[in-house]
Amino acid sequence: MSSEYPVVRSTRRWHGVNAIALLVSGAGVLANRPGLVLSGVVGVAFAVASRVDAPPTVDLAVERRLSDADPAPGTSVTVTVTVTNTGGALCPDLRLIDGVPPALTVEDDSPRRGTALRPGKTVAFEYTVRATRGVHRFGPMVAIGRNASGTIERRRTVVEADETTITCVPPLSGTEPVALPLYDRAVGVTGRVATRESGAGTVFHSVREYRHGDPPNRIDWNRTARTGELTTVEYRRERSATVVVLVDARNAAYVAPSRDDRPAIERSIAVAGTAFEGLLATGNRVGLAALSPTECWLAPASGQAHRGRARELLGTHPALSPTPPEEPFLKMTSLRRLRHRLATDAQVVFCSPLSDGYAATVARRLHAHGHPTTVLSPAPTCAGDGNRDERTRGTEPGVQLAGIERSFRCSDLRDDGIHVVDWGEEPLRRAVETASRRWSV
Amino acid sequence: MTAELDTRPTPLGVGLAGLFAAGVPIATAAVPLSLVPSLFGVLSIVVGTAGGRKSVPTLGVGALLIGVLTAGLGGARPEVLLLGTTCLVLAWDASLQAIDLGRTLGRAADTTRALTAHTVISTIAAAVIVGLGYGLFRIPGDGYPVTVLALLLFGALVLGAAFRG
Repeated sequence: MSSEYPVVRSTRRWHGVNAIALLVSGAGVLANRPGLVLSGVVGVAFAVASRVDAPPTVDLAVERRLSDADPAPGTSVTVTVTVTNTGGALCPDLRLIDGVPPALTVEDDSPRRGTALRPGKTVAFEYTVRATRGVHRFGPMVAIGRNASGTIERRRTVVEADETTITCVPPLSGTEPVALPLYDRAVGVTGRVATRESGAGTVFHSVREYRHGDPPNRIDWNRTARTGELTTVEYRRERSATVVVLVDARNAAYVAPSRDDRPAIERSIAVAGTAFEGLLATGNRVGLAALSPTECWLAPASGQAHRGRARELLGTHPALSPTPPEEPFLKMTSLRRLRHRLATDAQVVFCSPLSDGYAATVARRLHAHGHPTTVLSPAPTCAGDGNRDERTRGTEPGVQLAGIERSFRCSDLRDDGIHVVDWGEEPLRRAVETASRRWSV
Repeated sequence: MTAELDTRPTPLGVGLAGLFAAGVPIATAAVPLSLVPSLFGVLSIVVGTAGGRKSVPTLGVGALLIGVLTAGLGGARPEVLLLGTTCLVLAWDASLQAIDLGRTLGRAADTTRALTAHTVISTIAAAVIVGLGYGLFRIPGDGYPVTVLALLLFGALVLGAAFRG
C-alpha cells in the first residue's frame, strides 16, 4: 500500500548541457568544423530527450519478515524486506529506504537499496539489527523513483499492510539483584526491614526490666542468674515496607553523551529492575511507576506473578519507550496524580539520571510529603554501548559541565537528608554499599 | 542511534564514470594535444566521483570538453568527435548518478541494479541519438556544410524550449 503526500520534483540533472552543446557548436561554426557543430546538435538532442521523459510512477507494496519477533536483548535480528512493483510501468531507478525503528542499530548490511523494478516484479533485501529493550515499530518505507533520464523524481512513503514490531523484554534484573537498604521508618506486616523500634526480631536493640506477659524466650536468663532480677531482651522490630520504584521517563531522562550512545533512561530502567527484584526478595511490597507524559502505574504487591508483570512493564510500557516522548509533560498534574496513588507509608526509589533540576525537585517534594525517597542515579556519561573510543568518552566540555551540575544536585539532595546512590561505571552493588555507608541507619 | 552514513559512491559507480570518461581520450587520441586536458578530465572525474563531491567531476567534464574542442579544432574526424562527445555526456551522467545514489543510499547499500539499469538505458538512448544524428549527417555523402548544421542546432534548441513548458 503506497500512500501520503507523493512529492514530485525536478532534479535539474541535465541543466547546463545546452550551454556545453552551444559552446561546442559555436567553436565549430567559427572554425568551420562540421564535426564540432554535429557534436553540439547531439548534445542538444540529449537535453531534448531528457525533457520528453515522463515522471516515474511509484506504486509499491512492502512486506517485512523478521528472523525473531521477540528476541533477547543484544541478539541479532535479520529483517527481510520484500518490495513489489504493483504499478503498470517500469521504475528504472528506484531507491528504497526502510523505516528502521529509531532506537535500533543496524549491525550488518544496509536497510537501503537501489534497484530497477519492472511491473509485477519483486525485490528482496536483508539487513540485521541488534535488539534492545522495548517495543520497536517499523516506520513507513521511503521510496524515491526517478525516470530513465534522472530528471524527475517522485518521493513517497509506503506503509506495510500489517505493522511489524520487534518486542524485546530483558530479564527484570540484568545482574544479581541488589538489596537496597531502605529508610527504617517501615511499618506494616512482618518483614525484613530492621526498624529503630524495639520488639520481636533478630537484631539486638536493648535490654529492659521484665514486664508481666513477656515471652519466656525473651528473658535474659544469664543476667537473671547473675543479678537475680528478670530482664527482657528487646530486638529491633522487623517490618516490611511498601516501596514504589519510580522511573524518570521525561524527555530530560533521554540524555546521552553523544547521538550514537544509548540514552540514560536505559540504565535507569535496568537499575529499576535490579532494585525491584532486590526489594521483592527482601519481603517488601514493591510497585512501579514512571514520571512521564503517559500514565504508567503498577500497584505495590508481591509474588511471582507480580514480578512477571513488572518485567513486562519495564520492557514494553509505552511510557518507557526507547525513544523520547512527544507529548508535553505536565509537571504539577503528574506529580499530584502520583502522590494520590502512593500509600501513606510508601517509600519511593527514584531512578533518574538527575539531568535537570526538576528531577531533584521531584525527589525533594516526595520526601517532604512523607514518602522517604532514595535516589538511584545512573550517570548519563556511562550510558554508552561501546561505539566510541573509551578514552574520549565524557571529555567534551559540555558533557563535563553537565556532569558537574549533576554532582551538585546529588550533594544538595544529600544535604536535604535524601539517600542518593550515584552509580558510575562500578557494579551497582558496590555503588549501593559505598552510598549506604553514609546513611545513618 | 544510527551511525554516520558513508555517502561516497560505490566502486561500480566510480568505475562506470571512469570508463566512459576514458572513452574521450581514446576517441580523440588522433590529436595528441587534446590528451592533456582529456586525461586531466578523466582523473578529475574518477577522483571527484570517488570522493562524492559534484564540483570536481564537473571540473573534469569541463576538461574533457576542452579536450574534445582541441581535437575538433585540430582537425579530428566528425565520427571521432561524435564518439568523444557521447562519452563525455555519458561520463557526466554516470558520475552524477553514482554520486546521487551514494548521497541517498550510502556506500553500504546495494545499488548495482539501479546503476546498471540507468547506464544501459542512457547508453541505448545515446546510441539512438548519435545513430540518428550521424545518419542524417551522412545522407548527402560527405556531410552537410556548417550552415545547415547550425540551423539544425537552432531547430533542436527551439524544440527543447517547446518541451520546457
